[in-house]
Amino acid sequence: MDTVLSILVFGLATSGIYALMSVGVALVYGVGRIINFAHGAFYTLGAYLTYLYATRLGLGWWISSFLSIVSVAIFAVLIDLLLIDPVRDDEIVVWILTFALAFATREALVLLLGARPYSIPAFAPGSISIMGQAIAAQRMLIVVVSALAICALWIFLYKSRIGKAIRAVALNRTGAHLVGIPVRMMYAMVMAISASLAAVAGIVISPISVMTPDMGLQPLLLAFTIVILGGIGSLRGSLIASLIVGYAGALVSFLWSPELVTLMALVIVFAVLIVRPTGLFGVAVERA
Amino acid sequence: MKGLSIYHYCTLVILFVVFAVGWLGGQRAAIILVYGSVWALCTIGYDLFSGFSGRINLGYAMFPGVAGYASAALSAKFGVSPLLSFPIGVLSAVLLAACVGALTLRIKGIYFALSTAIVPLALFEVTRIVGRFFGGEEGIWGVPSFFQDPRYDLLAIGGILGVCITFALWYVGSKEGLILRAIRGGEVTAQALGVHTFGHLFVAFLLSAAIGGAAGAYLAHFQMLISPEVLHIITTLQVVTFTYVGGAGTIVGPVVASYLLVILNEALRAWVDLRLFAYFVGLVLILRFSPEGLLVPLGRSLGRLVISFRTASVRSK
Repeated sequence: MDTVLSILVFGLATSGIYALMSVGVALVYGVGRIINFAHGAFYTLGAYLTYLYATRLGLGWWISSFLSIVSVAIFAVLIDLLLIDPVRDDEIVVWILTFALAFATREALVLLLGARPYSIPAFAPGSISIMGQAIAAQRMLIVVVSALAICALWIFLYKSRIGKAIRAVALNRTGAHLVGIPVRMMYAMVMAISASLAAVAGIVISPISVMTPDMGLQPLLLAFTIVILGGIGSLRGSLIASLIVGYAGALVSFLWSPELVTLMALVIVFAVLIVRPTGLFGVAVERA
Repeated sequence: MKGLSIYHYCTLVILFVVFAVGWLGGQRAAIILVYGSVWALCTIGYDLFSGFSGRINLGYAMFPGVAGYASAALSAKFGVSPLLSFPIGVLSAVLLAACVGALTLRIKGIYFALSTAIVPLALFEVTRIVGRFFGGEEGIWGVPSFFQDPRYDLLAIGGILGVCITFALWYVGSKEGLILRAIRGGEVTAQALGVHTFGHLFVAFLLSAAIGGAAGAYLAHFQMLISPEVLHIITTLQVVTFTYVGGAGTIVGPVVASYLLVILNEALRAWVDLRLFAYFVGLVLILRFSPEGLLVPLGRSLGRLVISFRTASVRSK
């Protein structure tokens, strides 16, 4: 019973982090039609900036996290407008460029702070007991924060005017442009949203793991496998796939070894790609 | 054949200069140039398939990785002679390519890129999980080398490189190359004209694997060790970078870019900390301001210069 509950909560927290990361990747692909390999850098930057704001400027942890999310969003918008937008139509160039950006960020962090690990104190210290089983409060916080963030994103996309404009661009770029939607603004907007979701993920995870310049790589890879599994560009697919991979990972690490988690995710995705290249919920997008 | 084009002369000159510098410049220069040649070999393999067919193989690192591991394990653990383990390593890369290609080549676009990208990532995990045999994060040490003197290594890999460049130039200039470019232009159109696209892509994929495998296997014997880093996505990224900076689809451009960037990397070694940062920022700027690479626009403006000189001299007569 204890193990079952642990797996439930553990899997939910992991899925939450995966969902925050992969929804951003899916959104940027669905709207901006680019694959952003620098997404992991937003995750890393979110955690590091929180640490820097709190320790160097002496701000509180909650304020620092907020400031860090805002800074990461601004950084993402700048990248989108200055670097990605001019080469947006050349898929391969965007891939390599964002890849290089991710590593440039990593090297900048190594230069400024060194490669040694840092850590953030838990936002929600201690543990809470559910049915007699002690569970780290931070893990519950991850579940709550990611659920809130995803709900907020959903309401934004489906109820607000800007959200509808974003979905219009995803459906048809030219059509959206013709009815007067500022398409380029929407690209930047989507980039900011996805970057801040990644920053949130990085911030809430770092109290229960460690911050290193490479911390973004693993979640980036998993986010990509999840997005492929769910069908590239499908938000709902990414959410369901996050749950699948999160729980499968929790099960594998409880039953066998945490080392196998990534391999398992990769094998699942490879198998799905072979059988159904568009993922579980994807629709084939034919582009000229 | 139309005879030797200007590209062939270029290659011969480059290889000759590389040999001369490596032979006269001492051990250190030779070592750097051997690394440059390994990367050059990788880029040829990459360009031959992805540069011409437009199918982006984001898992290219699997070829040098598997060939390197196979050759290293055979020679270091089972005492097989490097001369025998090297071709077996190349063969294992080709076999892997046959398996991966049979599964993934029917998939198109981004899906192809991502599904190939998964393979070396999974292999990377395998080297960690089966750590007892593959040496885990340390890799396999004590791989026997071919020669004691790196200058002989330079000669050997230069020979392989020369053969591969000549072959690649002949291949992309032949009907096969034409078909690959047709596939890049529009796969459905090519199929409509009766081209069995899968078969042609498959052959090019295997050739690309063989060339990349040769690079990886040679690297393992040259540095006398192979570590899982070779399977890292950074390896693929580096090959893609060299190819795009040199100009994809030109074979010779990526070779030149490999040598130049490896030498540049060495020259920046003094600034240990800043080097990688500067390298990646430079790459971002190149892609942003000159997406087709550095060497192709340079070659074009040189060509324009030559033409303007010619017309000027014709006019003056």
